[in-house]
Amino acid sequence: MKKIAIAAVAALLLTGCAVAPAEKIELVRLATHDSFYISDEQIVEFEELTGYQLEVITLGDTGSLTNKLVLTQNAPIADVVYGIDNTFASVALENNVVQDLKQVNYGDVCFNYDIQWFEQSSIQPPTSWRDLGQSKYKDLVVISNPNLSSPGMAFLITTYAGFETKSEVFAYWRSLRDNGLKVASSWTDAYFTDFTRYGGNRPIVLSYASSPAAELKDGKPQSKALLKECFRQYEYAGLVEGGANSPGGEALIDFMLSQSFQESLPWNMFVYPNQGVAIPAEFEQFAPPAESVIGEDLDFAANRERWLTDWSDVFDN
Amino acid sequence: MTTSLELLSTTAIIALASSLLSVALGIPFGNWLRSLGQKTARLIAAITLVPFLLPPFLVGLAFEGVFGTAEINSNLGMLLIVAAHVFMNFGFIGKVFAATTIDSEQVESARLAGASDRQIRLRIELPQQRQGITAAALLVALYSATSFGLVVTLGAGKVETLETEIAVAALQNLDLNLAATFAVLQTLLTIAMFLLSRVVGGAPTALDEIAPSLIQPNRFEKVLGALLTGAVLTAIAVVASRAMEGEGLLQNLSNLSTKGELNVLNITVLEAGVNSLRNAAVVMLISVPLAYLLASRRRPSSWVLIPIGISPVVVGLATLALVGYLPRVLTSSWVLLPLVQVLFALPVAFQILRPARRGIDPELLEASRMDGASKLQTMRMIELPLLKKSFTLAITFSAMVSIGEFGAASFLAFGSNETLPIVMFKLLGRPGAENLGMAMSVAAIYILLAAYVIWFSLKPIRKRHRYSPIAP
Repeated sequence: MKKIAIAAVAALLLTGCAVAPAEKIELVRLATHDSFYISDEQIVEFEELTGYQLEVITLGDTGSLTNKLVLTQNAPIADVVYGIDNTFASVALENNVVQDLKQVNYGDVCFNYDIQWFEQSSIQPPTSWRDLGQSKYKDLVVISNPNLSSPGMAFLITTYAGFETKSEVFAYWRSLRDNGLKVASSWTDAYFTDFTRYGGNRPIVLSYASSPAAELKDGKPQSKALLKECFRQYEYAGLVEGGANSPGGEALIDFMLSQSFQESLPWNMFVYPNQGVAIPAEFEQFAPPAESVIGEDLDFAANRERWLTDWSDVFDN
Repeated sequence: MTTSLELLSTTAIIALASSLLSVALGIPFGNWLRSLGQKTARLIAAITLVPFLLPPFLVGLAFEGVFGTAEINSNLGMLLIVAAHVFMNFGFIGKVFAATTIDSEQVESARLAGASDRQIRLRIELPQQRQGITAAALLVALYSATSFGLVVTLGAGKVETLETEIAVAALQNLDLNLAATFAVLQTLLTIAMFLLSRVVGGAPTALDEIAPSLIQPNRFEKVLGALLTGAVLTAIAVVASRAMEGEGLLQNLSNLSTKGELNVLNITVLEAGVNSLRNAAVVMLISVPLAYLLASRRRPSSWVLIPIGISPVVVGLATLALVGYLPRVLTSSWVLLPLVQVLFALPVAFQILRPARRGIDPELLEASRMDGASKLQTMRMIELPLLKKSFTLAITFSAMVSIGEFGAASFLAFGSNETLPIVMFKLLGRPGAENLGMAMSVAAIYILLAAYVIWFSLKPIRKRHRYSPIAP
């Protein structure tokens, strides 16, 4: 019996070795968030250009992505990461899970509303996030949880930047809470489940200035973003500390910064490319970047935990 | 902020309430079960044991299907969770109850002395069954304290137990110290339940037989039994009907070769299925021979049972913390997860093989050795043929443990190594009828598989030995 057990373990170790990387590592493992999109053509382009093979590993929202990289840093599950943004960068950098971060794109976090829904009701659509505590917007708004979702965090930052004192921030959050604000666990849930355009019952959703481009129907806009006092979010790519294939990771980052990948960003992921790359005409017309942005200059690393505790105080009690 | 003490008591209350209610329904159900003919009893037992064998997250899923996605508050969530636990476990309690043999002469003579059915039940039967039922009840409490996937599915984030808060502390807040504190509390609680069950219960009860009763069930028991069986059938029907949602069953099945609507998955469901089978193969290959090795030793190796008392979430967390000290070849490979799952499969295989191995007449083995057979020959010619069914069961149950395992997998399976439960959970968390239909069709396949395994394990054999195919 012992022999069988030993043979089984030996067979197992052999198979274990068989999947271990060969001398020249061809596989590049990209960790990213659930909203990442790359077309099959682009994968082929990257693989033919560099000789590497791409594996995409989605790990939930930006917060989950960052945290999972931290939790697995003793045995890194990826070589390169895309999608950590300026709200979560401090977590990744403080925990030494990335070597350095290069900006790949930006997006502006702001509320979107369903044009048709407001046309059919007698309610005036809001003009700023500051309006959302008004009783006419009762039970109409959905945001995503700032603990895990970067738009949620971005909105939390917006409110701290938008008021003079902490008590004003608290008063604003309480007014939202008492007005039936729904907190979804992720942006995907908020947008694709709760937003009226996807069968939900909330016509106002926290999303991006670029989102209305995704909703164009026969060249006509179906949703509109509130473009004042948004939060500008930068998304980065970086090598994962201790990753097995750093050259492959570098090659992928270079690819993401190339002209062709940058030009594909608006239609693939509904974000704006880095400065210097043109924004498509439809975006310029119906989904342009925000008119004004606030909050970028706050110290996220120092305040993140306190902000989240404050937020929990309002919403968990 | 919820304190550790509150979490501990919530977890314990859910476990105890689930256990008590399972017993309260399970005993009358078992009484009804043993009054039925052998064939009918086997059929009913097989149906009602299906939920017991399903992974908790899948039961949560079926329940969500029945009760819809109404806005859940914490009280309603707890109620649903307890109900789902009872739904999972009443069949197990009923089966343990029905399998306990009562001395029929004692019953006969009591009846001759003029005792009523009620008196016989209270004075003669219950005292003899108390031990077995208490042990089983403690196991149900233990299962109910380690059903992470079910709590996550039904609690909708509003019900906080030690397991959910271990995950929140580790995965959301990166607070490993807090996660470790909760993990210690969780482990103390479940190990205590497990040890208590061992102390009370002794040997596990044979589950593949039903001892016919001399006492007829009353009307309440008959109605209750039929209702409970009906509830299980309804839940199965709901999953089956949801598997046909969207574009229909065939389309859902063919969608399994895709990454879902809006490409929500990293890999196709089929690929995840292959991963799960691959993991299951590794788990079987290690746990069954190892369990047999341990079962053949003279001294009892009861320590292998301890992992039953540890939550998979805790094991997943501990593994993440330990991977820094293991060789890179292992930690960066898919083999890590099945190696961890061996911990959960080994006790199950051991529980099946140990009594069976001990049931072999030692004289038979002695005789073969006297005739000059080598150890290997004795094993091949005598032990293996005698234990054929036990081995089949040990292999099947180890595989089921691996395929349905969710807690550890959620910490250790990423990207192209994701397993079926992980992929199903992702599909359910995302919008789209297509995704729901895909998840439900996998669930339906799983239920069919579980039903077959149960049916097979309840098949009576000409027996020399007794063993428990299910009760860990």
